[in-house]
Amino acid sequence: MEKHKLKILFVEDDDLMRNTIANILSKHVEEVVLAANGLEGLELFKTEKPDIVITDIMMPKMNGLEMIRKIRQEGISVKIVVVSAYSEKENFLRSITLGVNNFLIKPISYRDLLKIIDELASLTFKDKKIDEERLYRYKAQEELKEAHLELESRVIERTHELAIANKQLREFQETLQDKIVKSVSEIRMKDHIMMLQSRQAVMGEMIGHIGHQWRQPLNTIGLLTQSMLFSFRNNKLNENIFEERVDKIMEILDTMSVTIDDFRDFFNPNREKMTFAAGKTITKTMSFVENSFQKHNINLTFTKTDECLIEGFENQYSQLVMNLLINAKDALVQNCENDRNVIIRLSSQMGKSCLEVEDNAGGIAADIKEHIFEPYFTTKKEHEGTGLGLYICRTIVEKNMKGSIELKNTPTGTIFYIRI
Amino acid sequence: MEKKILIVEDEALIREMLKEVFLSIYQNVYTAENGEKGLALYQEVLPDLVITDIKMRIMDGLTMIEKIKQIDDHQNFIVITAYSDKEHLKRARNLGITNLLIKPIDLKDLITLSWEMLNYA
Repeated sequence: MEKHKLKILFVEDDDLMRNTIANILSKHVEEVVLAANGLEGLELFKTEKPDIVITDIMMPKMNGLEMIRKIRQEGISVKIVVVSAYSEKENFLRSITLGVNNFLIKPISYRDLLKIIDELASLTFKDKKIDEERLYRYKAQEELKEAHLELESRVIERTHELAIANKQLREFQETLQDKIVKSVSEIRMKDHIMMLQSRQAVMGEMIGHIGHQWRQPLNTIGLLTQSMLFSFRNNKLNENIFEERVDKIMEILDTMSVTIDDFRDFFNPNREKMTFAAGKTITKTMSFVENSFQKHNINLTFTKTDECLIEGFENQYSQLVMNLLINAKDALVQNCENDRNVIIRLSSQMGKSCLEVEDNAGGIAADIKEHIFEPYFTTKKEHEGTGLGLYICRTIVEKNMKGSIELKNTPTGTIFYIRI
Repeated sequence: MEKKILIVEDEALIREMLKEVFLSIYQNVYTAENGEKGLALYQEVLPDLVITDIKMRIMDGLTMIEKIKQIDDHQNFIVITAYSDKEHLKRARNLGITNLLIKPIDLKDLITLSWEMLNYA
């Protein structure tokens, strides 16, 4: 017969009894541990971890019931069998409350002992299996719990990361918005500054033109005034001559006044939106540059098929024409020896005014053409151009007057088309 | 004074005024309205002094001087010009013109200069 794979702790104070039963048990189970009293039994229980404890009740030092109570306090599901005399009924009852598995009454029946052991063995085996399963389940549960915990911690971690990322994103969005607002205002500021710079450049140009326009009449007035003194000294100054010269001087001064008024109008920035005749504005603007064009032997011609009424700022339109004329003039002086021509045409096309400014200065190279409307782009020599003229033209046409500006090369030069 | 003066100026009012002023000093004053006419008149009267503006249509003053200098390299000139015409100033210097008057002209300066050149001063 095969031995049960069990460890039994047998606690009995009677040596004879202990050894006899031990002999029997050792034939049926693999290991038998012996103790002579409750205290010893408890110690051995702790160190040996038996599957079954068989114990007497009445023992010195620590009785069986006390020992069982302590074992059960350990919370271990060890199988316990109590051995006692029939007379000790109360002890049996008490042992039941302590949770023992079975009872044996002295004198111990060999058959009963083995029967109980067989029962407990199978129970233990089942328990073991159950324990294993439990353990497995427990382990699985633990693993699951751990996995769950890990998952949770990862979720928390990721949530945290996400929150940080979200916060960063929000901050980024906010700074982006700030940046956009800032750059937009910077661009506006830049545009404004460039407008001013270009205005100043045009103003410088205009002062030059005023100089040109005034030099001749100033000279004439000077000579007329001095000639009166000469005539007086030669006794030739009579009232008629005097009046004639004064009239002449006043006439010249009137013309000079008109010039100054025109220039002042041109620079008055507070002018309101109004309907104006483009043809008239062009003629007036041409008069500003007339002298300068003459000086450089440039033929300036203007043909119009329509006056072309435009709603907007007249002085800006004038500045646009002025910039295009100055541009053409500078290109001609730089690139063209003689037969310098600038032709202005004005016509009405599909309800819009079409202004053409054509020169024969040789045209604009293809690689430069696409940059020509960019700010601070210039082909002129240092100090001669601000690089803003055409940029301002585009700003005036596209932004302020909602029109279009483009240029085309001709066999001899360039044509700018402005449709407003 | 018996010297002959030629005034070349395209603006009629100034031309007439200069003529009047110079006539009060010199006996023979001739006027022309551009370089071409000035050159023709020069060859006709052979003046002692030529007073000329630079910017004129048909033929400018400096071109006229160039042509006159081919006839008489020692001819006296007074050139009147605007200060801003830097190209003209340069051209005038290259032609050996030293007597330049800048507009607006001071008549006293012009007359004094003409005296100096005609050795009256």
